[in-house]
Amino acid sequence: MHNGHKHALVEVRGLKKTFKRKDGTVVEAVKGIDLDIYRGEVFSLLGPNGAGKSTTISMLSGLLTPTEGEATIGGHSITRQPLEAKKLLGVVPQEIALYPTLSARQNLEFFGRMYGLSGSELSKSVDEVLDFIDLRDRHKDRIDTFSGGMKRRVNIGVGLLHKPQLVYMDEPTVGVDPQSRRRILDTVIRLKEERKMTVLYTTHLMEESQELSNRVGIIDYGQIIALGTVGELIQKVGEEDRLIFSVGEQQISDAVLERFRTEVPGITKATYAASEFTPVAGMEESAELVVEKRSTGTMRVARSGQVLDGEITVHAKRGRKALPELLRVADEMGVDILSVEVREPDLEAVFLHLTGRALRE
Amino acid sequence: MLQKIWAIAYVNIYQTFTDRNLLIIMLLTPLILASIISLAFGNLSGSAPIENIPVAIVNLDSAPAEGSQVVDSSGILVASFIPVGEDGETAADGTASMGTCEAVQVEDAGGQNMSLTDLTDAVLLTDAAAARAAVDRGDYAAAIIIPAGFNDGISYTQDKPTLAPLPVEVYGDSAQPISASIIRSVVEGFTNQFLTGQIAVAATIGTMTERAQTNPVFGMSFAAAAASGSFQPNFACAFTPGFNTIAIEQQTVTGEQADFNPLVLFGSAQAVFFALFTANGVAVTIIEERRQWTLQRMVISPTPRVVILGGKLVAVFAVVLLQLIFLFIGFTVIGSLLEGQIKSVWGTDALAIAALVVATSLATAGVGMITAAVGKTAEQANIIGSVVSMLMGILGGAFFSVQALGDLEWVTRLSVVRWGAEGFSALAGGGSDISLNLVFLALIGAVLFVVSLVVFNRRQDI
Ligand SMILES: Nc1ncnc2c1ncn2[C@@H]1O[C@H](COP(=O)(O)OP(=O)(O)OP(=O)(O)O)[C@@H](O)[C@H]1O
Ligand SMILES: [Mg+2]
Repeated sequence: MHNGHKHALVEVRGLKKTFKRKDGTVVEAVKGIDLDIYRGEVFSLLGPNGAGKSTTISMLSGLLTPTEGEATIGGHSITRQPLEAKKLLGVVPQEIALYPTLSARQNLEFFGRMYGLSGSELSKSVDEVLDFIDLRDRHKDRIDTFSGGMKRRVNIGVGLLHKPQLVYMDEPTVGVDPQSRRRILDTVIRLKEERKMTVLYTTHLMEESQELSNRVGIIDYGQIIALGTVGELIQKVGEEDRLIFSVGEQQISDAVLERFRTEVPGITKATYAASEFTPVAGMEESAELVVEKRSTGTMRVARSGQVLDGEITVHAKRGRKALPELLRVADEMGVDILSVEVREPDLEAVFLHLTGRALRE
Repeated sequence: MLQKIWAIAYVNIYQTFTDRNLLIIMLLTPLILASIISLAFGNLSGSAPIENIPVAIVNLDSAPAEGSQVVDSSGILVASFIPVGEDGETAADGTASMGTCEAVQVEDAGGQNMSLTDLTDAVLLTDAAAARAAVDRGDYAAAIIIPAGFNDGISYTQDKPTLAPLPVEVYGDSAQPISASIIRSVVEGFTNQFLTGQIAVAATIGTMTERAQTNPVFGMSFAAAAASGSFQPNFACAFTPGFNTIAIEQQTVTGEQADFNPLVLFGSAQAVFFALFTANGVAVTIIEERRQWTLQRMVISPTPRVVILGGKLVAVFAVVLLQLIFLFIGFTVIGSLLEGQIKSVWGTDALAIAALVVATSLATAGVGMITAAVGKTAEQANIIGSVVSMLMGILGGAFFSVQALGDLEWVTRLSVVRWGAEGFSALAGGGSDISLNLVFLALIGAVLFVVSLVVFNRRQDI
């Protein structure tokens, strides 16, 4: 706790993990991470697939030995005093880590015993957790008869059995339906508000990060590239709104973009991007006209190489204010705006700003 | 800590014994397989009698001189296997005297009478070396070689009042240990009968001589009869075991006198063989649980690695122990059903049986752990386990009698199946000295446990 912050429950210093593959190549999954997680906060690690979130969680839970660096939980080193550190900690792994042929209760009881619970204390804990994850009525059913969402809930429940002060949740909403996802997010909020727990939450979904976290660490290629509250991070990108104009099949000339930038006040950037129609491989010659099935369920006939969905993206300090002016210029230039979307600055924009890539591929 | 070990063991035992497919393989298959192999072996408690065992007989002895008081025992022995008329020319000497005697009856293990000629298919040879060679080739299950002077050795006469029996050699084919041991028993039965017969004759002749001395009339007729040699055949019948049917005393391949029961031999070998598979299967769950992430979940909990491995080890041992107990009870039930009465096919030394079951479980669990520990992936560990189990099963006599290996028999010592099955056979045969088997099995179990713990503990991925 040498950084002076007296509430840090987890301290991570220079944490590194290098994997050596069998073919001799070296993967630097985590390249040296420093962070503090404070008591009672939800800290989220936001990053795309392969960023190193799970590797970090694994090191912080004593599953992987760091190549370099150190982490402490409640002052106990995870490498030198693993048993003490692990007692304070509940973990919800990204994988469903349950025995499929055992019932929900049997799974909870078994892992409860691994945390030293037994007898009436154990059965009380199990009942509480079953209530908390709302699976009391299915507690005798085997895990392999559960839906994906129910398995996720049991997976979370196991991490809460011994009432830890700190819980790690590694992408707990992966592969679940929207309803179950909502339920899981609510669970996290309840953990923080009702139980005053500290949560380290990883996700590649910025909405989740934004909704749940007190603070966010954005992780990319094994490095924390930004760290702070959601507000602090958004300030970094200059709080610009993004206006997205759909233009359909129209070709947009640079002149339009140029006029946007010069004539409308507060515009910092205007770009045009379009997707072209490419016929399915093997159909190039046979059909110049190809039926494209659109995600909206409609069908349309397109010509090879034809522009399909064009978009003009405009960055503006105050997007809504600039909108009428932008529409006027577009009209003058003969551009037909099909729809407009105003996006307020979010973590997606922060990530885009920092890396030039979108969070979701 | 012990609670955690037990919790881990319990979860594994529970999962194993609630998996129906696994139970069929673990418990039902060995029972059925061993019963089939035993039945195929042809002598499962008398339900399928052994017949027409090929036997070569070499009689190096010569028939006693006319008028001598020596009984032609070697001739009787030959004639018992090859009655007159069946092989008239070769069974020349002494067989004539069998004319009035009944065919020799033997009682097979099922209590049914069958004649010795049904049981065996005997051929008279003249050269002992050739007979042995033929046995080595597998032409005969055994060769019976009657030494020169056999008759004299077991004959009691007034001139020679002592008995000095020469042994009849039974040269058995190690590939047909059961047939060979049956022949050995029959011959032993005969020679014992000859001896007791001769002692009786000695007593009778003694009495008659005494009587002849006191009763001149009887003395004269006795002398006349003795001179003509005519009483000899009648005596011969008295010596023939056919008068008192002899039970075939069967022998286990270990050579100890016992009721040979293939169910014991193959049952115990199959039980240990299948236990090896089970042990490997349970041990491999250490690797499988990694894929399932339940292993990581244990590692993440405040549980030392050695406790996790210890729990698995206890699980492997306990599952195998339960499996073996079930199988041995199962074989007892099958054996009893076939015998028509409740009977422990494993002998009566309950303490020794229990100790051997425990020691065998330790050894098989150790083998299972080490085969799992050296596999990089679960699939690899399973394959290694299967190969080792198969080899040990084959060498250990789960499929055929290991004596067939002859000079290579020492190889079978590498198999825990052999050590276990041998111990159980010994106990079943009434023997009780299985200390070597117990010590070896327990030791190999302990050593493999320690080694596999070290190997597993070193692995980065556990
Ligand atoms: N055991 C391993 N051996 C080699 N490379 C590994 C290993 N584990 C992870 N990696 C690599 O390290 C990088 C980080 O992986 P990690 O699982 O931590 O990512 P993540 O952020 O959790 O991604 P996701 O969102 O897909 O779960 C990836 O490139 C991955 O391929
Ligand atoms: Mg991950």
